[in-house]
Amino acid sequence: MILNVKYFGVLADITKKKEEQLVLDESNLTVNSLKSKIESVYQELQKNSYSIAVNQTMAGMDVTVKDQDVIAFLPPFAGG
Amino acid sequence: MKNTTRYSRQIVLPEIGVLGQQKLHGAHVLVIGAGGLGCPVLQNLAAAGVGSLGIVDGDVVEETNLHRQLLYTLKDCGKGKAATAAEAVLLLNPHVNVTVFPEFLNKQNAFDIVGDYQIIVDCTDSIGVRYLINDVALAKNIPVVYASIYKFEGQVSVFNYKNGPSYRCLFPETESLITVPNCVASGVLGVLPNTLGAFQATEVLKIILEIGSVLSGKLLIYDGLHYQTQFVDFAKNPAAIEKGRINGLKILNQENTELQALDREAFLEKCSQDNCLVIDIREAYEEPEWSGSNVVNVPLAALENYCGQLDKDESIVLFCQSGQRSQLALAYLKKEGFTRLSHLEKGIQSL
Repeated sequence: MILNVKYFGVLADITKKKEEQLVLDESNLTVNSLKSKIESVYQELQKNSYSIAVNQTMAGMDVTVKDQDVIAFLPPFAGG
Repeated sequence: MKNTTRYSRQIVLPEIGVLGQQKLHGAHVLVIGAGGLGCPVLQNLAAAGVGSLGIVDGDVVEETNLHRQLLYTLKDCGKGKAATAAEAVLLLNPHVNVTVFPEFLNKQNAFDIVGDYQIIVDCTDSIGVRYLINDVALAKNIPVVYASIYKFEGQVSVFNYKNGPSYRCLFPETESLITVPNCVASGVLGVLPNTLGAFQATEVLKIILEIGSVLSGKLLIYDGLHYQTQFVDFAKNPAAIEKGRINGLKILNQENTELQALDREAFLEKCSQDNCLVIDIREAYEEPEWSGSNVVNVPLAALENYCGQLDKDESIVLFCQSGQRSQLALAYLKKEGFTRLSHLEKGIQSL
């Protein structure tokens, strides 16, 4: 399946990209396993706290993602 | 409300009218943080005729603030932000009633400051204070208009609005040490907080006027560099709300807030006591260096391992650059069962 992944704030600094398309062998997987997959590619992400949205809705770790979903990695910003 | 000429262009809007203007005049809004976000929020709310504004900030104006904090000028450098902002606001609209709180919001003063304000605008610059604001607002059952910024990006939302979702529903607090944000300043485009602050002011006015739809349960994400905006929906998490409310009530009742936050003098005294272990949790490269017979350098990431060899009843003082990381480290050690903990509240940069 194909996923469109977007990174925000410091997470985009770590991945050095605002978004990317992932082509995966799996036909479905949970947000949690996607998170582990991405964090194994960009290990610095593990040092950050963030929430994950699937198709513009914040998702729990057990939500299943599917082909063509848009995934957003959203950290809280501190600045004011 | 004597002078309506000033507001005539908004009174003419059918959604506002004379009645709406009276609602604005009767409103009490607390703006926490008078920096990049706080300045445009205060400017816009004062100009719109919000009757009572509270300004909370313990900081002073610095020259590096001037590219984005447009209430201040060069001659204000060195002066307190809250009082200076109040003067600027009164110049803009002398009919506004302004209350100055020249201090940083903390567990000890939060409920006294929030008092009877109806809406809190979160314009702070630390995650820890954002959770504190959230929990206090939950305990008081008042809405929080939130924004935060990073470089060219910003987030806006409204929490605890008519029993809606809270900050903790969006970003659950994690207690593990790996999630600690560092204190290194990342820089910001000067215009950005002004854009986000204007969004916050818009939400405040809609809440007071009870018009339109409020950004509750939605996070607006704005990217100024690529001009992209998007919304993310988030739901109410009852457990997260309960956690925040209980925490807020604990703070209200002043539980667990014994003197753990040290000021300069208390910290220096601890440093001179041999029966007390002072842990510098900064990275080895961070300056200024701080040495002493009872000082050890254990970067935050190594603390988990290091604390295994310590006596849980030993008196431990933690410090970092600004006090943010040491606060998190303190919470972590407390959870691990350590009993005599304190930290340098404003960090080594405050000495």
